[in-house]
Amino acid sequence: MKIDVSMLSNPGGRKVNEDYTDYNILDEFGCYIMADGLGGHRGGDIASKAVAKSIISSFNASPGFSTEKLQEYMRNAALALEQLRSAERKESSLKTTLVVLLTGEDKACWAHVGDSRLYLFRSGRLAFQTRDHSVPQHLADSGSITADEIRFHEDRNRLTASFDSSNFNKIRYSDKPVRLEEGDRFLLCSDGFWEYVIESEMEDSLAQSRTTQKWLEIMEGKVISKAEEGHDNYSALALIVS
Amino acid sequence: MDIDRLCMGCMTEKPGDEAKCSNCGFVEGTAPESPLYLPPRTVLENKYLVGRVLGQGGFGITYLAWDLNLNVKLAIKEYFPQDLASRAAGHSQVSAYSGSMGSQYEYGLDKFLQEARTLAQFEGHPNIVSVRDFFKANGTAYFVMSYVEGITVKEHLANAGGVLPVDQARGILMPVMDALKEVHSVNILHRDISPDNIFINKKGQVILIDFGAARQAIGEKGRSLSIILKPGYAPEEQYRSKGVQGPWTDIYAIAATYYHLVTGKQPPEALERLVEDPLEPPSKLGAALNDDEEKALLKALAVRAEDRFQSIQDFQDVLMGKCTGGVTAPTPAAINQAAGAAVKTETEKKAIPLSLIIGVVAALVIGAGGYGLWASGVLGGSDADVTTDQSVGAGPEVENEIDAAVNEGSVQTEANYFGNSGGNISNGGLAALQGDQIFFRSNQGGSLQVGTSGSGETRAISVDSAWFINVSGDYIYYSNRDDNNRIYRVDRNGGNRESLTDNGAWFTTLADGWLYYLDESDDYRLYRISSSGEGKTRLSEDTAWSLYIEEDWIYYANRDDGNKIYRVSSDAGQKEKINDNASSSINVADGWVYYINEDDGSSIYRMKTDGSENEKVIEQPAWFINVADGWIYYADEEDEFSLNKVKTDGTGRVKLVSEAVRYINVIGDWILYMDQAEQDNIYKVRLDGSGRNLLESGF
Repeated sequence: MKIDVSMLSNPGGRKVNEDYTDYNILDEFGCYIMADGLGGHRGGDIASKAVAKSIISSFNASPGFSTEKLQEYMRNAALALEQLRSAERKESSLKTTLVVLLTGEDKACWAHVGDSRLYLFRSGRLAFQTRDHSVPQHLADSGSITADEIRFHEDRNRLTASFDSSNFNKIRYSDKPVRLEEGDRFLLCSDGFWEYVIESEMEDSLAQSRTTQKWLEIMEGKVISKAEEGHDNYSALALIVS
Repeated sequence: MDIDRLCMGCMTEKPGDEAKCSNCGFVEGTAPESPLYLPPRTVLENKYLVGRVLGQGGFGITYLAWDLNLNVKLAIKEYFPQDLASRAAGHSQVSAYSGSMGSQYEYGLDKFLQEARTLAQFEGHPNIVSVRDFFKANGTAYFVMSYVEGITVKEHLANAGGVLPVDQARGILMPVMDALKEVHSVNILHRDISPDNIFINKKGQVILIDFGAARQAIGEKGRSLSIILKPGYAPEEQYRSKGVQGPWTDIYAIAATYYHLVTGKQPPEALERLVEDPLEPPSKLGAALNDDEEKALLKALAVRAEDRFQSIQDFQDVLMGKCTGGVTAPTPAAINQAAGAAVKTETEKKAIPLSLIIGVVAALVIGAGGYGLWASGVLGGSDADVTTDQSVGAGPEVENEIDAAVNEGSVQTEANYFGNSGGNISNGGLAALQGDQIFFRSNQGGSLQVGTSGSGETRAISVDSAWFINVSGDYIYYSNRDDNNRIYRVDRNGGNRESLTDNGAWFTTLADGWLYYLDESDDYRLYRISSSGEGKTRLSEDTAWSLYIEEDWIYYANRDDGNKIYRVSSDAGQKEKINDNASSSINVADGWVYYINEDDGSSIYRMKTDGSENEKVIEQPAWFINVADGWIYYADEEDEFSLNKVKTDGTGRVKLVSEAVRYINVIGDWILYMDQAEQDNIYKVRLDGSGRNLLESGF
């Protein structure tokens, strides 16, 4: 099984990039991360980076594939964040959204919290997407608004969970590991990215690209063409299984 | 009054110049726990002497204080939204972060003062926290409240075993509703009602504290900040910036509080209820409400604001029996009479039932070990100062009744050497066995419950989210997930609950009167503390993970040395390394150390306790091993984490459960485990794999 990965992370119209993407592949295992720090003032960039780095280093120290393994990485990351908080003597909260995708030889599982997303495309079509921990997502789930209305809802920034040690039970894990098929594509992205690239555009650009680099390039074009001045950081990590 | 002798921990005057207060143990000159706190002996407005911190939350800090003119104890709340502002250590000045954070800070500050001003109108109201003064200083604002001794309803509920009788719950909440009516009449909402914002003072009076205007204000303007609401109590409109709030908002929260008190369960989060409402009627959970009361409560808890009562009065009318239910509820007048007879309350003050007062007074007697309890904005709900002193002994009558009921079963109360098996502790300590009593973490928010083997009956002990449960003698010890994993102990009736550590503890194991644990605040180094919370000692310099105690040795994986297994003697006198593999899930039994060898595909290994005869038990990647009575129970990674057992010599493998499991606990005739697919739900199954069922069904 071969994996083609690319990622991009751009501060957009902001001074500080609070998004952080990273990945590593060791033997048959892969670990892919997208984190978007919250907080606004310094702290957001620290949180996303610290959590991502901790997960990668747990993965490097003990690569493997299972939901338990993933949970172990997540737990270590929560500890790392907690330690950072005390080390920095920061009473202010260090919070971040988080999406982690873990792949084994022919399987994948994931975890997410907040409004960064994971999409899975199979046979060129959207097969799965994570549900945000946000107020508009809940409103959409209850039928109060349509799914399309999430994107520009006035409460778009109101998250109902983020990654920190006190929120651990809100992290959602994939139900069961998914068996990978040739041609499967994953997209992990921050809200600053998916806000401007709708799902049908993700599919369209997918059809026009054979590599992840090209795929991301086309989608980034959408972000740039639609985004307004001062827009949010945007980041994405794309992966093709072949 | 010699101010220099005034103890900053409890505001009593010390007899001499000694640094340590004999009343509360506070040592003069102790630096504040956080550099963000005002240092003790700071003077505000030339008349308020600031003492230690009583509580801190996301939006403010509450200090104990002393009025230098009137010579009375006070509580002072400081506006301090920690996401928006900071303070340099040793300085008083608070500075807001720049940009939009700064304007949010100012907006919240305005609301904070506005609220103080409005609340000051209610000064002297028996059921509303008394705001005596408010002022701006140090770039922030303060309000000064009377210091009241008592406990929060959350504490009271925990002391009572997690559930209150309906009469008592109503007795607490009626005065709160009366107070709310008055507050609503001047267009203020509380916005943050929950069991930890309702206080019961020494006289048994109920006082509403910690109005949430500033918090809400920041939420409204906030960008990308997680909303800080109390899940379960906050109605859906509070989650939305365009949600219309009104009396119905507080009505929802008070009904949610009522629901929690009488069922022992917090209602599900309002946003979750929007989708598919999992709220169970209180009567189904055992609350003795009549039909009309139940209907009223559910109406007040309606997800959509328009379906709720629109005024407190309407809600009260139904609750107070202006309806034709089969059960006659006691009228508030009767409740007042009962209370009035027992306690000298001023006649116009609304008080609560006698039984409750007895309970509260008892709690205060128990808590008389020097710490007062405060009425203030205990923002974020740090109830750390509610300490109990078990030496004071006898509990209230109510507890004795429960005692009698419990003693009918065969209860073994001798202090056993171990509080739980190490194999269970390695698996989260979801349950501990004593005689035929099983103390367990329930599927209801992890609250601590007890069941009797063979009876099918279970009973709540504490609402705390408990894990690493140990039981010895009359006490249950556990790490409390609701309070940063600090170790708590509580007696079998839910009384004498107290926290024993300041820091979070993992792998908490009771052995021979000592609690051994990995200290969360010290990078998970190994400590021990006596079972009454004294003599804290660090046993090893190594950062550790996993812990197993056997024969005066503590085994752990040393994170400073590639997770190799070390052992240290319980007096820390000897330490040795016993293997060379990255290891996890350590179990020790019959002279062997069992572990998962991470260097060899997570296979199960064993070696003698001195490290000799290292051998592979089974070639199978495993998780969560638990060794009991000659069997190793484990989750098989190659088989989707199914639950299996194999003899300790590697033979006789049997598959017990095909679902993916984690946290395998072996308790008497049962195996308890969590289902991987269902997050926190705990299941039980017999040792042979039969009788699988959710934990609620009893034993």
